Amino acid sequence: MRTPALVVVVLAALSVALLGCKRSSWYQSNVELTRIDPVRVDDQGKPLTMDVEFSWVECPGLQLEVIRGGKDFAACLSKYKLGDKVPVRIEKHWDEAGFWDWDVHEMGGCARPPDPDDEASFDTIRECHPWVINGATVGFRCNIIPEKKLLAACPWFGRY
Amino acid sequence: MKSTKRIANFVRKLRPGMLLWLFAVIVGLGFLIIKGARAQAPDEQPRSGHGAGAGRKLVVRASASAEPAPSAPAASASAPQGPSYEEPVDYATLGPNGGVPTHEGRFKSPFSHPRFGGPATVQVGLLLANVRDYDIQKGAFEADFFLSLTSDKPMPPMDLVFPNGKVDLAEKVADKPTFKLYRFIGSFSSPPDLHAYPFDTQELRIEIEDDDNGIDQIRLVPDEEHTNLDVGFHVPGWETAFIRARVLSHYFPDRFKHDDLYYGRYVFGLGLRRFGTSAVFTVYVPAAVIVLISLMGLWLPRHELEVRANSTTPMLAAAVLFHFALMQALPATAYLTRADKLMIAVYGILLLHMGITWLWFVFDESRTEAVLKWGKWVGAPLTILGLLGGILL
Repeated sequence: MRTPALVVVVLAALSVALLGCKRSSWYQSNVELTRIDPVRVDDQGKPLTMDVEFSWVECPGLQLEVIRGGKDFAACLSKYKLGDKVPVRIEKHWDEAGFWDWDVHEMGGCARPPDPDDEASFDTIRECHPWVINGATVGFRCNIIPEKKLLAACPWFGRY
Repeated sequence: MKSTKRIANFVRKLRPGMLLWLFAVIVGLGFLIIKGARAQAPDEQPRSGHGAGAGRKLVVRASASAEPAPSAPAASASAPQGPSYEEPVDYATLGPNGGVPTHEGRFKSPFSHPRFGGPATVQVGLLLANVRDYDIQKGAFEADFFLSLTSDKPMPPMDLVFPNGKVDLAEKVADKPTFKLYRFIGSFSSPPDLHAYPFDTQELRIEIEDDDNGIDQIRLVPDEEHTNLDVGFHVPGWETAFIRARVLSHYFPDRFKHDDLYYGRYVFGLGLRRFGTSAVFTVYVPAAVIVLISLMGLWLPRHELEVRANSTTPMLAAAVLFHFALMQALPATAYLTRADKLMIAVYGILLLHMGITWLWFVFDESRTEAVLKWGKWVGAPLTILGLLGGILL
């Protein structure tokens, strides 16, 4: 009796551990708005969709991201101007493609429910360093896989 | 006939003074046309390639030889004096003993251009839109990218060549004296580095060189801000690890006397890393399973000799076939990859297990139990150590 019970306990523990591994986590950060562009507008000129480009100013390196939101998000975000620093709420979740991804759900108090079919939002996460050979800078190298320093400050960038 | 008569009547009606005016207008127009054609003629002459591609067939003339020389700023009265676009070899000085004509100054090469007035600093940006058909055996891939050249002063006519590939499509999107934008689709190749296989990172390189102008006319500078991957960029089966760009000053071994001019070469590199999970499950797990199955045989007693032998010998065949399948996907290398080292460890472990089994035939039957016991307690730790060594080395 003891052995089957032990097996059940081990299997249950493994299941919990596996399920826990794929659990979403939430983060807060501040970003700087670098571009706000209405993409589609209605007959009155009010934006139906809006692109917002922002820089992750609290994260090391130059991390830029563009998110597209609907009309409610566009109307709400009109109170901000370029250069403003606004808080964002981020969800880090498991992607079925086999890696971790993140979505911005709220920006500056404006709700932005991510659309799973949205292909316009993108990020350019990279950390660049000069490429030095023989003491002379000959170019640059930008790491796209986040470095430890970046992950320590902004853990949602970790994909694996 | 009627029309001829009409023309003759019209001419008769014309006064001699009007005919004179008509003649003067025609002569004037002809003079202006001839003068304009002469002024344009030097720019239309194709420049001879004297740089990297001199003496070899040019792969692509991204900036065609018929490209209008960027002389517009010099033509303006208010604009500063523009650089000289004359052919440098034409004004190189011939020495008293003949031979290669030379220039005075930093570079003696006849292809240096002291009259150009100092190099144009050209910022090179590259947007990589797509990479297709990466074949690690040949190191070949197809790339689709935009190339931007932005300079602080008018660039001389350029002839872009690709030392490590060939271009199938070269589209000139913008061509201004200080700004040029091209779109290229072509095939390139980079030698793969398989030392760390299956945890390898490959660099896919795109090399671009101006065939016509040395560093005395053009100084290439990688533009970090305008070097990017397109939105949604992804190479199937690989994780994008890094991008990098550099410029190297390329020096040819002397092709003639005073061949001392350097040429700038822009090198863009895309780093692709193999997925770690995939590497573990396709290489390390099968190897470990082969070893573990063979290891279990060490616990079988002598009367199960046949079963014990069957736990090792077929594993040797499996290991050889598995190793062969791994190597089929890779080019031959002069060094051992990490996968090779792992497989060498696996062969060694299988040999050890086989050797422990054969000890029964070396020692007396009275030592059967001792061989079984020592085989387990010596063979198992050595197996684990060997496997760890194969994984970590």
